[in-house]
Amino acid sequence: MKKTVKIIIAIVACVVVVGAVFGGVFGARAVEKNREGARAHRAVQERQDAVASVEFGFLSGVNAAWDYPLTADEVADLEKAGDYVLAEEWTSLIMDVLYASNLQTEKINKLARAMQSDNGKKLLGDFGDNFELIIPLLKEVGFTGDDVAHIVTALLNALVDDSEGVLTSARDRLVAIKSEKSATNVNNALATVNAELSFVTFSETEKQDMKSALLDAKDVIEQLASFVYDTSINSFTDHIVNVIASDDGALADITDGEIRTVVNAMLSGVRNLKSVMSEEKIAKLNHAILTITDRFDGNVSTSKIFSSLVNYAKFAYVFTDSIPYLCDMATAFGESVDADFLTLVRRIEAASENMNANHRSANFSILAARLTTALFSGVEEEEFEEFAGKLYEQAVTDYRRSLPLIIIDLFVNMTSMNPDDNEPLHPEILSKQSFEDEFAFFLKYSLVTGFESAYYDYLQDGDMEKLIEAHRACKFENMGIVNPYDRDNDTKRWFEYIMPRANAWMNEEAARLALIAKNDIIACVGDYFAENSEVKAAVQEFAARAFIAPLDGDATEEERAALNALIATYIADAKTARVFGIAELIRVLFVES
Amino acid sequence: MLKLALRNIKSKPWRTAATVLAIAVAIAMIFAMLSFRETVYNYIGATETAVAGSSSVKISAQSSSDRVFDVAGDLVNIDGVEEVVPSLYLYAEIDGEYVQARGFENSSLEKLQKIEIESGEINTSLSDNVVISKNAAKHFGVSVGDALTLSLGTRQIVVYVGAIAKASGYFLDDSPYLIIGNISHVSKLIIAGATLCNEIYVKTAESANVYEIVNAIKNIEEYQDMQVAPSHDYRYIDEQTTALTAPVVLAGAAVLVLAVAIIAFIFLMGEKEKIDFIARLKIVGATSGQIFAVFLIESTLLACVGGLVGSAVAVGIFALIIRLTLKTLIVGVNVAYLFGAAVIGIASAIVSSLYPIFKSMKGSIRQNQTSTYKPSKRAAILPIVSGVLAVVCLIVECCVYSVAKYFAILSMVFVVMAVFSAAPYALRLVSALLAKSKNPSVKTASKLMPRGKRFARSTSILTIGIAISVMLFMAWNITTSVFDSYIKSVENFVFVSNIKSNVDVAGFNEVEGVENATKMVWQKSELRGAGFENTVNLLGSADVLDMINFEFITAKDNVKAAIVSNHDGNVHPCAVDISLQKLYGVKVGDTLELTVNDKVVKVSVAGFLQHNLFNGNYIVVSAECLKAEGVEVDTVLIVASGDVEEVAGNIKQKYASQNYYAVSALEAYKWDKESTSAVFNLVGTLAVVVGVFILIVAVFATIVGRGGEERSRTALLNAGMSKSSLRGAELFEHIIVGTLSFVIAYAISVLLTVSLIHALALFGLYFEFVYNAWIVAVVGVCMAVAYAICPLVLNFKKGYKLKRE
Repeated sequence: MKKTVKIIIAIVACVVVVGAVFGGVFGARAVEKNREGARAHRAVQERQDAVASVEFGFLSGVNAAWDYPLTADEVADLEKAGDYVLAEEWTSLIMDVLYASNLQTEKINKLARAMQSDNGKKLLGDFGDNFELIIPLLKEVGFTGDDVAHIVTALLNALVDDSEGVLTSARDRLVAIKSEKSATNVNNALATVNAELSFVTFSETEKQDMKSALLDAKDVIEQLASFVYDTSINSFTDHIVNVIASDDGALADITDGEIRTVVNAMLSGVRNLKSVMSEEKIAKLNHAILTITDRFDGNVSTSKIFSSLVNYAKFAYVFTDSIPYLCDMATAFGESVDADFLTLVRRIEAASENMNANHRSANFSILAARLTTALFSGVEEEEFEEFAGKLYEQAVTDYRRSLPLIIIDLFVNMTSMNPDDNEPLHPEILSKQSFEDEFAFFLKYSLVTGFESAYYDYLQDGDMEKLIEAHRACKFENMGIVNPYDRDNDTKRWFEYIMPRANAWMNEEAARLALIAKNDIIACVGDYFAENSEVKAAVQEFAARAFIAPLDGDATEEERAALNALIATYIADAKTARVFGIAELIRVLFVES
Repeated sequence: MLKLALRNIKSKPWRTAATVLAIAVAIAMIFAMLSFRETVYNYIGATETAVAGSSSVKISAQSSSDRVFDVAGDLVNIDGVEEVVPSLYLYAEIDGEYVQARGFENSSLEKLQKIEIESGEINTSLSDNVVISKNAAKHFGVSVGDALTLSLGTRQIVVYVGAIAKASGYFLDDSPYLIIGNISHVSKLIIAGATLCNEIYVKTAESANVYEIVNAIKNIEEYQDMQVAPSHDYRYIDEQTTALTAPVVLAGAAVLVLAVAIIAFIFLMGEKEKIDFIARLKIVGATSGQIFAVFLIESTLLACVGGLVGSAVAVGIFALIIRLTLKTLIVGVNVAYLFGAAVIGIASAIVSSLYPIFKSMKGSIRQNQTSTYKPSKRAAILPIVSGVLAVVCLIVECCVYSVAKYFAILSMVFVVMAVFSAAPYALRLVSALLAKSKNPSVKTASKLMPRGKRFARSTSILTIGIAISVMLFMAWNITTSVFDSYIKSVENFVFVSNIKSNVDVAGFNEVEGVENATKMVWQKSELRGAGFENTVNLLGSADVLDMINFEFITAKDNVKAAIVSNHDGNVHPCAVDISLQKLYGVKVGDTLELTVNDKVVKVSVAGFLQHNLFNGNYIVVSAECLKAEGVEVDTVLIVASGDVEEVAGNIKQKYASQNYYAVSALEAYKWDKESTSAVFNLVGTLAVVVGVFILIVAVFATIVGRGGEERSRTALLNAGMSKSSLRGAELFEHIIVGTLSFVIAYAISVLLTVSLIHALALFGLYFEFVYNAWIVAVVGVCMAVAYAICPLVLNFKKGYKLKRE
């Protein structure tokens, strides 16, 4: 071969090798990119399928006869076509939130499966009555506090952004599917939708204001939602009693130091919450809650989930100002938990089945005394006074926010009250009549809010009987409200005449009672902090008392009588020490529930 | 002159290519050997520091302290403390298989180590998302988005794979598989609603004194019962590196010298041709300066190109070897070493290229052109002198142990020198014996070989090359066999860790398959004595004397009686490996200082044992003595009578509700075994690569050397020799050189191995003599055969040209 030919062959060979290398590299990159694209596409498809499964689970849970998705004709054929359309529209909105959330797709799949469980069906079958099942359900799925917090804020934003769109879409579909079979149901739904639309049609400025309020309070809302979810009642008993007292796991044979660490760690959630709840943040939170509740209170009743969310917001509004103080108190309570405390808890728990209610209360009074001691050691008198002052400030602005103050005062007095004389602790401040007024106010509060709810329910389901009953219970005539409108023919104006007047009356009463309650609470706290305080001595003495063990099955009558006498003494002393109420609360919350 | 140099380079393209490649290969060898120790150090360092990452101090629980604790407020206020990273570390299970569940606060996830993501993402807003390694994902059959259920006792949590990470950072310690997640979520394995930690890592300012910070932390009430210590034991990393690399480092020094010799060799191979060229230049009137300049330019060009190619080859091959053996890219290229290797290579090349000039200055043009190779009488003195010195050094080395390590180095040097210088004489002797053959090829070869310098040099280089390759393989064999044997010797053991010190050992003895169980302290500690300070593994129970098959240098009964007794004194009896006596002259009755868990315990040597366990770095003290000094037991050691994995399973089942970590010794040391195996693979691969390099250079040298003998081959053909006979003669030349080199290398390998093992004492290592003849045979035969068949493989016959004169 000639040299030139050799050179050409060498060059061609080089080009081929270099080309193969580059081709391989670019080819591999292209294949990888293609794979990535396919993976991303598959991920989107899986998420869409997961969300569709949840939507199906949701709708079939509400009504077993409902399928998803259905064509317009199939919807029109349904007996409750109107309900279906409304449920589907709201569910779609929630599914959009779910899809856009950062929840793992696998978790959404788990949620779909959980909806098919007994608890899921029960919850969806009657959301209003079984709402308490939602936390166990979410826990079963594996929702974390952060998941719940993010979903809550996302739902609130969706409510502001899209509720009008949801209702408009529902209205259009309802108009289109109206058929002979479902005419009544569709007409009812249409009426409800039209009524709601008049409330939730917001201008862009209004929407922006609401969203801005939500954004300002986003971190507090999330912290609060996460905290509430994480420390829900079931979790608390599960964690404190069952886990620490357990003899297995990483902390089997737990030591005093470890208990302190665990309790301290559990209280860190409380401390974190308090650190977030600055005055400025609370103001923003209150503003956000009021913004939402003012516009949506009762107006989104066609969505049980959203109306529950609004109701929770209303409930939270009552306590927001108190949260920092409650956090301090919870922290102080936590300080009392040590090995001795847990031993007592374990003994009470172990003997629980062999004790009657009084026996349990007597033993719980020891716990209550220890908690009380810890509370008064951990919180200064000035802070109690400041707390009472704060509660008073919020109480006079809105009767709904006076409830904590009134409840605390009632609780403090009832904890030591003898049922025979109903004598308050400081009659010079809280007379017997004022005490009864406080109690009546507490009842009125729930009755008036119940009446308001009954009206919104009436708008949706037309249940006039329930509304009449709620109205009767409120005894508005005692508040001086005589309604000039006809209840049956002019219900809206009838209701709108009552509510402002009832609210005004409640506000006035709240302002009056709040001052008394505040002064009474401060006086009761002062009793404990007084020099040579008898109350303090009584509490401390009680805290040191021994656990009353149940008797064996073969105990004699004398022994039983002695035990009962001892229990009676414990209860009487617990009242003197003003710890009986707390003991009862513990018993009801953690044992009887 | 430049043109002349370039023409010279272009005129022999194969020779030029061979020279460049030989320089490149030599530079690659130098770089590999220079980088070896640092590479292994970095690898072991990265593995050992995988858990604690960039922290300086670690606070952790002890078997007698609280198992969970808080970050104390005072901690962050200590001078020099920059960051505090709490972590929760638990042994959880996935489908009955242990995993390491490690939780960090979201903001701290990458404060200790960077996580290199293979797929997915670290979404800190999802507290139940976790990161797992690629191996773990493959093992559990999960991908990003999939759920895993972790359990601990009766508690369970579900986690979702958010990201899959590469085997770096935290994931260099992936045995059992590591799962990194949010601390509050991992805490749910203990209790929900609380964020707990059982480890705190403290990052300090660069200027801070770690030991002062450790002391300051110990003064905080919350941590007085905890273990507070520097996060990384650099001494241990260094000792471990030394243990694994010392034999190769010693052999590597020889490789370094060999590489320089190879470069000189490759240039000397063309000596005859160059002298001819110089003669021609002189004839046409070139001055010495001009000749010098031409050669300098030529060699500089070749050396620089060789340096560049060598640097690229070195980095490429070394990176590839590391990737293949250590399965990681954590070890970067040390530019200084690369530069150093290139400078050594280039300088050697330039200096070697000038040798023919100095040679040609000695005689007349005619003398230089017609001279044939004949070793001078003065040159014969070198093998005799070096041989005598080698024998003397070997005798001293074997008889006087205290100086053996120094004389071992001298022995190696003199043995190599003796062999290097004696090899040409051996070749002449063999040639003389073969000259009587009637076969024309053999006869031609035996006549040509004594006359050509290149054969003598090839024999020397190949002999030393084979010997050094054999040493590298022997080094690999020594370390591998030592480390493998001790793991095998404990393969019927089950370790139960994460126990409380008050655990009842009787319960373990009741488990089916358990032959014997004892509570003990099993952890790293520091041992100090006169002239040494070593990291040793503390075997804190007298029972281990019965459980581990030690060889008792001091009578067993005496050792046992001493260790079991005398628990009350300030100085506690101990037994140590015989290596301490051999290396540092420790005697029975000597008092040593043992530091364990921040406690300093004085121990007196009651006797000597012998075992490969931890390379001899162990100490046996009774648990009672240690308890008296405040060191509590932390492990239950179990000897299994049957299937060890089954016994470990039985223990796990019995204590399912406890957070014990019960694994077989093989499982417990799996990660160490894997990482040391990776280093052994690196050593083995390097040995192969160096062997191949030596061979390649020998072949290149042949190509270069043959380049100057074309005329003589043509003359033989013209004289009537057939091409086949000539090829036969060349083949026979190679066979003789290869065989002779192999035989000499085989003979001296025993001496070199003895000296290598003795020289390891310089690194604080004591090994018994190990010699595997088959390794020497296999390596030597492979190299000799590969060299011998060169004429066939490279088809020398094709290049034979019959020219008319």
